[in-house]
Amino acid sequence: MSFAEGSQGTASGSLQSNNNKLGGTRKPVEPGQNAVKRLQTELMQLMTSPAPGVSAFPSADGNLLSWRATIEGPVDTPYAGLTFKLSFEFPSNYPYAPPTVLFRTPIYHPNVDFSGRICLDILKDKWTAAYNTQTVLLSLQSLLGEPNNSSPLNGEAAELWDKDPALFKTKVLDRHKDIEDD
Amino acid sequence: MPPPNTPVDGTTTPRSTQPSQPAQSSQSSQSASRPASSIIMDASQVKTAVVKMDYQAIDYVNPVDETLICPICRTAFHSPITTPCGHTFCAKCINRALERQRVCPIDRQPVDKTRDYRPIPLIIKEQLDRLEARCPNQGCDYVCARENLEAHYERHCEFTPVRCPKPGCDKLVARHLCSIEGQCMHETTNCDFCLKPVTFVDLDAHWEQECEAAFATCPDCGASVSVVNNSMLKHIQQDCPEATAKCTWEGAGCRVTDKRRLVREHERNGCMYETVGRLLEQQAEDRKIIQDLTRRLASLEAVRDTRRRGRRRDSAATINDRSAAAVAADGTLANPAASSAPLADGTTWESPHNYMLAQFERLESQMEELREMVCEMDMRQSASFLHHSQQVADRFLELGDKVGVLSMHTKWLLNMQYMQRNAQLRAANAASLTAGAAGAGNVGLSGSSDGGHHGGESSSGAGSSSSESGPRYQLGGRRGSEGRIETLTRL
Repeated sequence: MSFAEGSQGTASGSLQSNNNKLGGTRKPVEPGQNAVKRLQTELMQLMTSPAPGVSAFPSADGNLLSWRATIEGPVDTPYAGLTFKLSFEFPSNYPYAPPTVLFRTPIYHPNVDFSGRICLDILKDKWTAAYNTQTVLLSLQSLLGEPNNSSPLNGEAAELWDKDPALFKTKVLDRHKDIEDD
Repeated sequence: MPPPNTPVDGTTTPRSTQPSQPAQSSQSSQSASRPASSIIMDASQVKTAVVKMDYQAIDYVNPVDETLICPICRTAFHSPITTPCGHTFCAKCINRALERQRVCPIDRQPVDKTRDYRPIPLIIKEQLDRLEARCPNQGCDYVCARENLEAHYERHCEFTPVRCPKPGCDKLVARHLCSIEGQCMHETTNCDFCLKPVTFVDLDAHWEQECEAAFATCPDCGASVSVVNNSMLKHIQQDCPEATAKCTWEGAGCRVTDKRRLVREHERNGCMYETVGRLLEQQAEDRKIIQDLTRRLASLEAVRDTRRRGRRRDSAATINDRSAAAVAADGTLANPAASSAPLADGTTWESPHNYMLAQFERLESQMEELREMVCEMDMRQSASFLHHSQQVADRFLELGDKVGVLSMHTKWLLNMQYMQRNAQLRAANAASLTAGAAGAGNVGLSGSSDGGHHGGESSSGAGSSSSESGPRYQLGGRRGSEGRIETLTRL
């Protein structure tokens, strides 16, 4: 015990003012550390130079690997004037693996199923590490105006897109429903 | 004493293979010098960083240009490479991306790992090296060029995580906490004051924020003061307004001793001994300055003396050389006195330099003298030449005048002769007409004389007709006075 006391006295000598900073030096190097850092810079970029019609922000629970985003429907499409909310779940090896993106607002779209899952190549096998949240959101925004009807998740919507635009628009408006933030 | 801790190093994480070498050696050297239970680490035993500096965590003082940012990690490039398609990434980032897909993340062109990489231009590297970067360790505010940051992190930064001083403990601890050899900073101890269990690394935070027993009430002023690390003693000796204190000018003779608050007031209001105290301070300062100056003077004098000695030796050698040369030149030089003049007066030259300069000046003045002499001679010569030539020119003029007078005389004489001849011819013609004589010889003579007559009339100037009248002179000369012909031939 005498040894321990001696060590306390010596160790504390120089550290009086530094102890509140120690948390940083002792931080463990987690696997998701790089993902978090990358997401921090992305967030900074989204805040400083936002792209028109899209926005994104980490969810309220403070977990930087989970984001909430919104897309405004492009003009001259059936989605004009509507706002869609999405959720982003980033894997710990982001950006080497794509985030999981879901439409939280119900949407009637050939490439989105009824639970909000999206069929988009860049979110699957065509993902590269150079994509980021903003580019994904802009891709999704253009997907609203130009659906890929050859591989639909919603076959009816794919058919109606070409056959009956008026009915398609009605179905879009019927399906759309503003949701509350959680 | 614990046994040597070689197995311990086997348990290190694979990431730290490189830094584990120095750590191992330092540990073995420490175990050899373990007799004392606690050893303060000295500078030579600085622990190396276990975790490599994370370039992505660096904060840059100025915003980094977009062209220097890796598209994958979105931070400034760290050891970047360029793919065959011309896109640049951090080596680590692109390697990791290629593990999933062997294509360029920007344009999806196939990239074969490492073999296809091209180095980036040095200018980019330099730009990256020069970025002003902040140390990524929390609590450290060190800023430098990025190329120097790693050295700071690895060797100097007090906040770099290093291996816990205790052999066998795998955890990391900030470098500045490793002051006690062999003491695990992750062990739990009991707080000295509240006796609660706290780990060593958390002790300071505990004392500052949580532990209530670490604070005590000052017996004098009643304030709550930390008792850690003798800070209470410091408080009483330096700060506490109620503790007993002495006047600042105690050394000058002030005997005021009271509560610090009152003593301060006394000092503010003007202690009687303040003037004396300040005088004493000033004196001490002056004395220090004088001592300093004396020391410097002494050293300067020493330097000067050595220099002077050296110079004297030098100049003596030069003068000897010079006089030897003068003696040698005496026999041949027409003016040896001039060259040896500086030596003759016995002047000792301060240095060969000065001697040469004096010689040079002397030569220059001689040169100037010579130049003046040449000028003077030149002037004299040209003046005499002018004088002589003037005389010659005068004579020429005189002669010219005489020639003019003579030519006038000649013309007058010629005119006279011409008129006489004309008169004779006219007289002869008149005689032949009156005589009416007919003879072959006479007719020819008259024809020729007619032609001569006309020619004489047509020419008005005497000069131009002189060639024509040349033979007639002789003709007339035979007839005219002999004295005039004599004048002509003389001319």
